[in-house]
Amino acid sequence: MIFDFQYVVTSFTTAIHYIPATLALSLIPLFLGIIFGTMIAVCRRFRIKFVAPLADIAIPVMKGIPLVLYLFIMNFLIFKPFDMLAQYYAWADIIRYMDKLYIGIIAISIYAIVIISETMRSALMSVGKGQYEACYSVGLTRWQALWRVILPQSLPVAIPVLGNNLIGLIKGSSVVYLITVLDVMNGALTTAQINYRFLEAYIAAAFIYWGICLLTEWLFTVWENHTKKYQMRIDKHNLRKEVL
Amino acid sequence: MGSLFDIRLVFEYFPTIISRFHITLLIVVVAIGVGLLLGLFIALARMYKIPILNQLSIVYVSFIRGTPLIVQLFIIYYGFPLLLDEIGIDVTQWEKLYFVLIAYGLNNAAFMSEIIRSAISSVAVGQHEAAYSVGLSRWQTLRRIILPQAFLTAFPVFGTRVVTTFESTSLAFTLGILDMIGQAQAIGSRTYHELEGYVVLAIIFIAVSMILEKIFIYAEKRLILNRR
Amino acid sequence: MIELRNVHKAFGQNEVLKGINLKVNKGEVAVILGPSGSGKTTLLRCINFLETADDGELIIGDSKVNFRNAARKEILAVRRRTAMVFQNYNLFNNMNALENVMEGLVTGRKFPIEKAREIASQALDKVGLKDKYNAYPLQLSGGQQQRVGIARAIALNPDVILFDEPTSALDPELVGEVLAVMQAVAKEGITMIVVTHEMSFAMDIAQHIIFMDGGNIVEEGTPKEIFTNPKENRTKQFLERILPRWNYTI
Ligand SMILES: Nc1ncnc2c1ncn2[C@@H]1O[C@H](COP(=O)(O)OP(=O)(O)O)[C@@H](O)[C@H]1O
Ligand SMILES: [Mg+2]
Repeated sequence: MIFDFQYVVTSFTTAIHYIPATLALSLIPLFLGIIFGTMIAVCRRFRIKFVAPLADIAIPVMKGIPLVLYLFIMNFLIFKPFDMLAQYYAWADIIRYMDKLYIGIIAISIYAIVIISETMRSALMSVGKGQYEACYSVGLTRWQALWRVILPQSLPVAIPVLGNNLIGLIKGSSVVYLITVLDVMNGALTTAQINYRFLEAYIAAAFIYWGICLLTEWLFTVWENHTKKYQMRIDKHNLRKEVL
Repeated sequence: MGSLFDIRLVFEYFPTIISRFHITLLIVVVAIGVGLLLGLFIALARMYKIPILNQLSIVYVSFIRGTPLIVQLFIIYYGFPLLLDEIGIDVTQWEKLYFVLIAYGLNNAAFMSEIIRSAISSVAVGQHEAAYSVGLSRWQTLRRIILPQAFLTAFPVFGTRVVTTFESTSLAFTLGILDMIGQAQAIGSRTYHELEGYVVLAIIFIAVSMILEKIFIYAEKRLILNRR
Repeated sequence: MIELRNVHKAFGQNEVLKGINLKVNKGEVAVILGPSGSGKTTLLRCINFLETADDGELIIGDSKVNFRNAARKEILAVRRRTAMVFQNYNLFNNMNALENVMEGLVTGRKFPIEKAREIASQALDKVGLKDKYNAYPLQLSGGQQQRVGIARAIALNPDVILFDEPTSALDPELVGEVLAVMQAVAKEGITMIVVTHEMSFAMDIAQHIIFMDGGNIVEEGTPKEIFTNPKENRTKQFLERILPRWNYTI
């Protein structure tokens, strides 16, 4: 079979309709990851009782599990019970044919919380002890210090890494095609199911992901420069860039 | 079908699944090896701004960083035979594993080149100047002064990359490779007890990535000590 | 008035404060001298509860706190009666000069913004930074940053301001401007406890000199007593080292 660019275009035009699905699969986890990941990181930084020691063990362990395993496990745990119920109850059957997008979102969110909690942890640690002490010395409480001084200073350090995290989530979200979720990847492949032009379909998908990732990178650079205006001399190398 | 989870099956599946570990290891080793060599090449092309190669490298790295590994795997799988066919090499008899190895190697090269490049550029300008001032050539400067310093900066990031590569091997099964995940899937579809296989996989992945991390932290400490 | 009674502090096996008793009167400028590692910084940090001493009591004005069982509320109360000027300034990097000075008032003490802004700008004017309200720390020189640090402390109107080597991170030509500001603050009758190696400041501005060594207060008295007639050998040795020509000039 000869490579035919026309089929790339066909696949591309189909796949772009699924960009919202891919965005949902990456932006919702990013959002949840920032909320809960920051909470976990703060608990570890302040050594909150029970939570901190628990997270010290759980986060490194959970970090070792690849995204695709989270997906399979969540798919199994959420889906299989209904599968079994469906043998007895008709309503459970409906669930079986429901869009599995939400399973993808749940699995990726768990993964995102783990990853982003580590991002936020190193960002928090990049703020020196002196800043905390200055807060305490003018009579701020721990939480006031966190909210007014520590988090605002962590953010510019965290943003580029969060950008990398998001790019990782966007790319990683493509695994949901394995549980038949219709995202950009799967959308591109729908045309190939008919015309067997798989190479063209994957290339079409590649272009879309590439575009989204470039755009993301650019947006995060803009955001970073915006938040960094007061820290002209911030040390770019003080955080290991997790290249995803 | 019975219960959802049977702990005995975890023990039963464990040996079968881990028996495919060598495939995973092979992918990691090849990916890192190819990645380092090709990555250094790309990094140098970019640093010394070699015409054409520099621009090609920029696009290449951006593409690899901006697209999912799965997509890259399949593009190599479907596209490489076409490309080689053009120059008269018939690869229809090749095993799928070769394509996987090529894909992981090419993927890693992009990330490695970024690691190498940022490590080299993190060495202070003064170091170059000092080396030139005592009469070292550009190559001597690179080899004797810059790379040894860059190595230390790059090492921890390199460690992270190895762990990431190891975790990313979890996608090789999508091409039908019978690695650990492929094995677990095969067991799962045969017995409908998928969860136990996933638990085995999770345990192995957690254990290996933690061990790798420990090794790299230890090695980093030794490196720094040897420096003194 | 601020008083410390029998303050002990150890880091692991390292006993850094070995029972400090100290009384500084209201409006007094006290200077703590002593070799490096003698526990001066630790003492100041205990007063500000940046470290919690293992034992002893702290009395500030009418409130008395025991280090052994200080409740979080008490700690916060003490911190709001004290202020600290740090060796390396520790300005809030995410805030401009004015916001730095306002922060303790607005967030810590719940002052209305307008009131806080008024107090903060007065404080900045006092330290000679009338034109730097909107500058971020990294846009200021070391001397200017430290003056913001001092403004941040005086704006809180604390019972005592603690200075930990406020000029030792500064380039020599910037030391003067900070010392001048400190002198002005002293003139206003604010109680100050200052750790410094600037002997001119100790001799000319302080009313009370405290010499520490090895976690103890070895000797204290007026500048005249300490500088012209030190009783303890360790004090003499220290002064001879730090003022090599001192014997000749007097
Ligand atoms: N956070 C800490 N942990 C352990 N030891 C400390 C700590 N802070 C200070 N020390 C030790 O306490 C001693 C006194 O230190 P410090 O109060 O800073 O002395 P000074 O300010 O007089 O130079 C030193 O031996 C120092 O090593
Ligand atoms: Mg000190």
